[in-house]
Amino acid sequence: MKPLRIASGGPAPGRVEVVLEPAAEAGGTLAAFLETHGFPLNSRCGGRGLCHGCEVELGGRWVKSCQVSVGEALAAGGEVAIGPASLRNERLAGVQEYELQGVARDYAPVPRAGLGLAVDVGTTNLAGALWDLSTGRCLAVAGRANAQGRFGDNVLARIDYGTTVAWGGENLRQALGPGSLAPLAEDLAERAGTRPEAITEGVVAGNPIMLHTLAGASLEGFLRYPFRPVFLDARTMAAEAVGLPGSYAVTMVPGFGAFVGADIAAGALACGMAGNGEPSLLIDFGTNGEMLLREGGRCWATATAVGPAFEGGRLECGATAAPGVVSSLAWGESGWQPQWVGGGEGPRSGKARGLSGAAYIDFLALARAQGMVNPLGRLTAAARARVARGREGQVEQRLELGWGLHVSEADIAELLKAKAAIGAGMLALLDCAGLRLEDLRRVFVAGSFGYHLQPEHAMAIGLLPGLPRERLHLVGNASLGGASLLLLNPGLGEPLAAVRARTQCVELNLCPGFGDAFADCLALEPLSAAGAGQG
Amino acid sequence: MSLEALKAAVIHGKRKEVEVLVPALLAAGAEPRVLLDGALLPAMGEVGERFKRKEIFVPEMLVAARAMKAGMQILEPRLIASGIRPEFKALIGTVEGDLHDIGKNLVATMWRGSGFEVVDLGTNVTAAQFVAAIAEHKPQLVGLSALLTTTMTAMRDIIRAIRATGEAVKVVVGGAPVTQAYADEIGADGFAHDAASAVDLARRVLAR
Repeated sequence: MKPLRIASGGPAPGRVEVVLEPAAEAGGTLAAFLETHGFPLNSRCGGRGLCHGCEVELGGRWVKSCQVSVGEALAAGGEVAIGPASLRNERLAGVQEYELQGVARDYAPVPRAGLGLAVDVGTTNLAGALWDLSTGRCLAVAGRANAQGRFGDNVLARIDYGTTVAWGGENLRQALGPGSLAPLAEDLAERAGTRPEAITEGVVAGNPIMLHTLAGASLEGFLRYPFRPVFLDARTMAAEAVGLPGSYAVTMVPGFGAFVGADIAAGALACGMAGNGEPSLLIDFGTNGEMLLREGGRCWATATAVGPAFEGGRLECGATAAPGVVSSLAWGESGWQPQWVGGGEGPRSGKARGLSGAAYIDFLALARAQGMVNPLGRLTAAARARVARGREGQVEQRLELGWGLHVSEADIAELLKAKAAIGAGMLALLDCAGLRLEDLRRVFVAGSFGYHLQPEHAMAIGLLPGLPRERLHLVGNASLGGASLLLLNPGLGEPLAAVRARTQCVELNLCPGFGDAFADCLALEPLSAAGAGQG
Repeated sequence: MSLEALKAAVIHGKRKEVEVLVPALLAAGAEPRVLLDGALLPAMGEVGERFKRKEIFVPEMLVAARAMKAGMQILEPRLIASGIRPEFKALIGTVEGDLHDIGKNLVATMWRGSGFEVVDLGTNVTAAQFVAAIAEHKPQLVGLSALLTTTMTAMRDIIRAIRATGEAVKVVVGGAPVTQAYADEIGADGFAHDAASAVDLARRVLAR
């Protein structure tokens, strides 16, 4: 049988060309073949042909490699080109930064011997920290892609996969514990010069769907309203049972509701929102946008379907933070000016690997200010270039940024939907509490995407409320911060229980006016002027 | 101030402009029916066509639908007062267990925008509620929506319950996980990919 010729990474540097002998595997899918031979692809639908993540060019056509057998690929000429957007990036930078707000004096660590592991399990990314429990010193932090990503790029897709595909639940469990958490622990231990077996305690925060799959619990209760999760309270499991090497107890942080999880609960601790106090809002920008609003002695929490756009998902040049990726954009006399992840001059080849979520927000704000896009994200005549797309013969409108990067109208539409989900969610919570945007004294912005935002750009397009800058606090991975606090001082379970007791979960789809608020928030305009752009 | 201006305002999603133009045109003596047939309906038709050609995306479609809805809210009482009844009546709802309604609302607006009277039953609607609403409103068409693979399965039971009533009503289905094959399997009269195609679908099944 003749060989398959694989070219990977596009024309940019790092292009790899290999010749593989598929003799024994001709019946399997091309995607599975590529994965076993060191080319894991961005499949987000579990190989069901629903997403575009595993598309490759075969014989001049774009095909979903999960829908093509190796034999068919050979019959089509055997020349396979994998574009940069289809290649999966597993080791991540930038998801593990966090800051703790005003908590040091209240929440002193309780020193004891041992090595502690704190982890935030996100839908898209995991982030972990390793702590010396005797000194309260952080020994290492690290991030990693959630290997469940290949089964769906959002929690609904994972629930669907876990409940409708044979062995789906087990595949999710394997991908998360042994497949993501264990390598993360290993990475952390290596960075700290120790072994993962030396860990003595673990605390894990994450949304309820992630914690359920980690615990091997059924996702059936998330299928239809009214939702009935198997557990929301704190749960302790043996490290071994969640796929971690070593023998110690891993505690899962309790959550608020079916879609409002331990991650936001931990975040509330990290932001000092556990107690009574002035009107404050915590927004955790993740694939599921979770929010907690505090007004006096009460709290309201919700989750809104943001999708993966802010983490670079579903965007043509979207990327998670890594060398060669643009971290932020400015606009000057000479056009678009990128800053690069990790600093420096950018790739010598002149070709970028992609744009981070925060850079897309810079783009939207600046392009809007320069009149390159209208309030609903259409490129204006002067700005756009019509580009014939390789796929399905469509023609799309896009704006070239240089460095081989572009933003299309379809990308902007994805970003607008994500932005509107956040905006409408915030307005719904404020409505519950009878507050206006300007009543908010403190807004904590959590998540790695939020940490790298330029607040004035986020405010300009209505992603964050337009408030005086000093009221906005970019806190990074608050879930990891809170999990770390709970690890260092297990007594913090008490204030956490108190927040849970006075928090009401809000189901956005049941809020009258949520759909209208969503439509209002689509426009690229400051949030305080919601409803503008309509007249 | 013209029908063209009103049509453009709907297409571009300028809700506030629509809320000014409709009363202004009515005050200047325009017939409600003329505003509907000459501006609102053609505007939504054009929005649907542009969406199908991928010239516009969901955000613009949603905003145009809002503008259309705002115009209809002003016009509807006038239309009814002047004795004008839409040709067809439709019921629509998101099925039991599912709270998602953005897609369902868009279809409702597109149907209204093509001249249907639409009764929206909301979300989490059970088979019994559909059956009761059919008895009450006597529609020619029922639309079922579901966003999740797991809630989509409720469609089968709802269709079975509707058929058991013996009413000669057409049932169409839609939502992200729904396919033509699934629609055929559960005995639906039709399926559409998106809100724009849902209009063609409704006309097609009602013509049968």
